[in-house]
Amino acid sequence: MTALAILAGTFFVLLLLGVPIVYSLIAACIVLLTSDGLMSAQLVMQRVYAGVDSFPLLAIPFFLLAGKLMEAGGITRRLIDFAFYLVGWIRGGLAHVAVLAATMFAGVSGSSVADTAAIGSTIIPRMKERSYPPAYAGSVVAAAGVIGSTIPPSIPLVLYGVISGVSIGGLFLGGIVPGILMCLGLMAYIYFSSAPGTEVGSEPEAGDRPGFGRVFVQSVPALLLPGIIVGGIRTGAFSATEAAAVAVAYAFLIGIAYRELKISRLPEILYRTARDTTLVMAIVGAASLVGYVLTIEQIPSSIAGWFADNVSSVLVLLLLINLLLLVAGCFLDGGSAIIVFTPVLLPVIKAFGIDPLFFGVLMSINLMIGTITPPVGLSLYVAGGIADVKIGRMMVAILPFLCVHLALLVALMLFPQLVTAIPDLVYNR
Amino acid sequence: MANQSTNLLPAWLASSESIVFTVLRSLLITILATMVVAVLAQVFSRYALDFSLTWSEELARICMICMVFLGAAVLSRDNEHLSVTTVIELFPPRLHHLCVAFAQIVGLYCTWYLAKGAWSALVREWAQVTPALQVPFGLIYSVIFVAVIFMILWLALNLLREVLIVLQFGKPDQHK
Repeated sequence: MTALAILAGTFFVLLLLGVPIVYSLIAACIVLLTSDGLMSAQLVMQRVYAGVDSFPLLAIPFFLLAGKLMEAGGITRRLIDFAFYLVGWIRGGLAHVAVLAATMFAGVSGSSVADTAAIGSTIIPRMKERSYPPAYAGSVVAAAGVIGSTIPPSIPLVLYGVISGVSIGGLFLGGIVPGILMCLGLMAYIYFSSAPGTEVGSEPEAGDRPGFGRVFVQSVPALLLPGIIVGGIRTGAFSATEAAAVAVAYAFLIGIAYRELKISRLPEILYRTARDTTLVMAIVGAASLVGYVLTIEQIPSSIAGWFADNVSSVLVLLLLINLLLLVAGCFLDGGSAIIVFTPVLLPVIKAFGIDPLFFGVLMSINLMIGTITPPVGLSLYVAGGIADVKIGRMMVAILPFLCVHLALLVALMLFPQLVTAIPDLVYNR
Repeated sequence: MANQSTNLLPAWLASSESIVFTVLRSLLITILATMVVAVLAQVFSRYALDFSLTWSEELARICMICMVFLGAAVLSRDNEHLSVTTVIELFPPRLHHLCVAFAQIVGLYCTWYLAKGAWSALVREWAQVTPALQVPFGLIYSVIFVAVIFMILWLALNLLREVLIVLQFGKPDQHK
């Protein structure tokens, strides 16, 4: 356990001193390996290389790119218009529109932060115009962003699938019901909290808009995409990576068909995608080194042993693990947490007979809640930036939405069928 | 934040730095586009031509590796790797800049080992080739090695910049 103390201690000290996550992870490993006399530069390089060298992980840049192309092709605006027709008339108005649009955009984007940025940049200014409190507007969008990586496609689920060996198609299917429940939960909270006379009480919005028929027809291509991805993977037509590449081509063609995607913007879109990919994948590489170091120090098995000795009920185990992950999610970004924790926790949950598919979806949702918790809540920063609200105020305003997500997490622990029903049905598991 | 104080550096350094950046940016764009085309070609060829490509997956994977290392260098340039700045933002400015400088030193510590590792892999596996495309592994490691060298250069530049900023705080009536 001293090994774990050195590793975790070095990592957290560096992290809190503002050292990038990727260097904090690598440096912690080098310090531990050096103290054990096992250090070799070649080994470090090789593990980082091996972490990045994976065909399934190529789905990550492709899903990111597809989301950016869809956005540049004007799909975000159309989805918001469509959501406006469906739910804009309900008490709570634009807040519902934001949640539903984020849910629909979730079928295009695989990342919570991307979802928050895409929907937020359009709807937060509009909400402020309609005198919603800016911190509230930002929080609604940041909370809805969590749905982005729950409904397929989902980058954290790709990462989990690659490490655990669970089918990515199955994991995607498992995210559907929790994603929809999240959307409904947030909308229910918005409805009850915007009662007449409350601060956020707001009239449904009216104005000049294109006809419903046109908006619906133009939204359909985006709404079909998750079906194409999941269907394509399920029928064996594509691997997850190929499905993601097809999504890129699809998004590109739609953008051209709408006459909104300018070819001259492509280099900038590609560059931004490459950078966003690197943000994730550099940490994936570093985390794969951590995974290796954990294994040679036999940390996963000693942790599994500890749980086996001290925990008897599956529910208590799930609660403990979820608390651990929630704390971890406050400091680590979700992707790195999945890579570091999956090899550690997988033996534990398997020993307790927990379905790895169910656990993957649960873990991914848990860690994506970390996008709205301080101090590393990326979505909180993104939405706060768009709404022009100080991060401290966002942290307060997000609390009720955080509770909605936590309630869902507990519900999933109590009723794993919410996750597993669809994959069971489709894959005849 | 690093670029706000570019004027602290001599002009020749700033201009050659920006040339390197432009080249890397174009490389990243090309590599990502190649990845997309390779995987789409794989799907197209399998369904339309009823023929499975052998090289597409390997090409895409090699591209990904190169993209991540070159991209990591670009991210080092502007201190854009994900980090937790909540704590150090509470510090007084001078201490804050010291922490940013410290982050560069930790980065240099890591990249030093990465460079050593990439170099020895380059030398050892120079002649080995990938199964489908027959690309020498040495070539892939060369790209990684060059990317890591750029990482080191940018980290060193940022370190220099932060140190200069910290030293300026020492002078009277500046940054008040």
